[in-house]
Amino acid sequence: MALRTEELMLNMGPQHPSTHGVLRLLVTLDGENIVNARPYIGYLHSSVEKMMEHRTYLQNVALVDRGLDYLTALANEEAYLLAVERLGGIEVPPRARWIRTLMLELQRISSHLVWLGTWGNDIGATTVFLYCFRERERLLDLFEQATGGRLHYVYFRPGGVYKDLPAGWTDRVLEFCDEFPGHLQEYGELLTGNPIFLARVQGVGVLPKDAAINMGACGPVARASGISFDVRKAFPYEAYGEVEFDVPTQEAGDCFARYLVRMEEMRQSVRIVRQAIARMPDGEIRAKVPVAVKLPRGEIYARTESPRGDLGVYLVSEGADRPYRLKVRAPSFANLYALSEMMRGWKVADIIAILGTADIVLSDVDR
Amino acid sequence: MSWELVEHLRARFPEVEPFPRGEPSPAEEPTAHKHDAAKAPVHHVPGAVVPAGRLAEICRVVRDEAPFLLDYCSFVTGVDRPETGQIEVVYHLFSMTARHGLLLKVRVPRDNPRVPSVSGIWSAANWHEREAYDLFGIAFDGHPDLRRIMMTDDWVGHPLRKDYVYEDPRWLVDLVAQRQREAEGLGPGERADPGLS
Repeated sequence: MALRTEELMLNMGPQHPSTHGVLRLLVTLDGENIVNARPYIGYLHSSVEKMMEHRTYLQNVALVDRGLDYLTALANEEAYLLAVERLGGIEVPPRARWIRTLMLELQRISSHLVWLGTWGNDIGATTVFLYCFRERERLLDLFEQATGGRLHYVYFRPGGVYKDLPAGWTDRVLEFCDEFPGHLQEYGELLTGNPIFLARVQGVGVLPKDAAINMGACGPVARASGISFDVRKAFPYEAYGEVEFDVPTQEAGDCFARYLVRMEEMRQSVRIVRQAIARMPDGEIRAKVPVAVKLPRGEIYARTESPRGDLGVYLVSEGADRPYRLKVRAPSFANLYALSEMMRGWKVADIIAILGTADIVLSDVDR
Repeated sequence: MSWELVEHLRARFPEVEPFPRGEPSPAEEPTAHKHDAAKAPVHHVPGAVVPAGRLAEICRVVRDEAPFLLDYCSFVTGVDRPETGQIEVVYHLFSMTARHGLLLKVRVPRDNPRVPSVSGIWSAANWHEREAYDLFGIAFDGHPDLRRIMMTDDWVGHPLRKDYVYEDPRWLVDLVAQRQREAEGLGPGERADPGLS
């Protein structure tokens, strides 16, 4: 007599410690194998795009900070202001461009540290979590000294930055840059020296290159699948055209490849930070832009490379002091869509490991 | 960046309407406060307006054929234009191999916005189309799973339409007004009710 088998529906979330926010996954299981994993989103939807239509261009800087990805507030400000400045023809002074580049790379490191720590925690490496948050704390202190905020900075303004760097601040950043590669080495040894970690991530959750492009994956997820595309290199903004850095790419497309890409990105960020400090000129930090700045009629799509990927802002202006329509192309939204492809065919125990490497932030997905 | 691409598109499909390029505004203009609302909009992204009936065919061509090779769909969204009674459906496409982008726009009537789905051409469009359906009410014909994605399934209305106005519920308006009255006349740091911490 043949045993009767049937598929099992497993509901994960919307409240679950390893979804890092309010994500619901409806997983269809055949025994232990994942037949399908369907994400349900919208639990954190706040209609930021609608709110932005009712606020001035300056007020919206504060809104993109918290309305989008809360771990990368500066990257959100950058994408939004790039659209505003390019549409308005506002010239950012050279010093401000370099300060922004420096800040964006520190933000990238701090965001990747949260990813590495929480992902490590999810798959059982609690030590890594504690180490990563120790280093991130130093970065948050640095942000606080320069901008006054730890998570929501409102530091970039139309035409430049809010205020100049405090005295001696760059020395403290350089101190961090001296120590940080050693810490990265340490995290790497903690993880890759552990056979359990390797067994859980190597060859697991493969996203093939064709599928990655077709499903709109971006950022480190796409680069781990062999797509060597980085907006900072392809369409340089701020001072990225003038600094030297490599775009790490892996071919395997598995969880381990995504891990390797992000680890190398942190090293490259340190490289950019050093160059930014060495080459930053003196001078103005903010162009003269009126508080109630009005933009000419027109439309623009500005793309940036946020820590999570291709963050774009499509801005339509009708000549007023606020956007007529503003669309945020969120990298987490695109990467979460590709998640079902990464998960199909793997075991139920791999869900957490795979979800972690997508590095999504739900406020960025839902907006 | 890739206005030549728009020329190629028009050569292939004469019915597309390239965006007027316009002149980028000079650097000093934002400080001058003198924006003529009647002036033509400046398009910083190369692209064209496409008839809704030809969208599916055009999309297939721009994905597969040289010189377009637009294999990546960045986003699909809408722009509501009540004054013309239309909704613009906007598609941003990009080529990972050739590194150029193109914006396609389809104008559909507001009271019955309907376009063919491109999710069979770029899988990435699936969720973006669901979002545009949810927030603008645009129907994508042939979409495999056209449900609301951000709002709850029983939500009424499409929030990103210009005539959609959110109003706070009465109890919240009253509560805010009451708190406002309580706070009047208080100095910085003082509380209306010292018992509350």
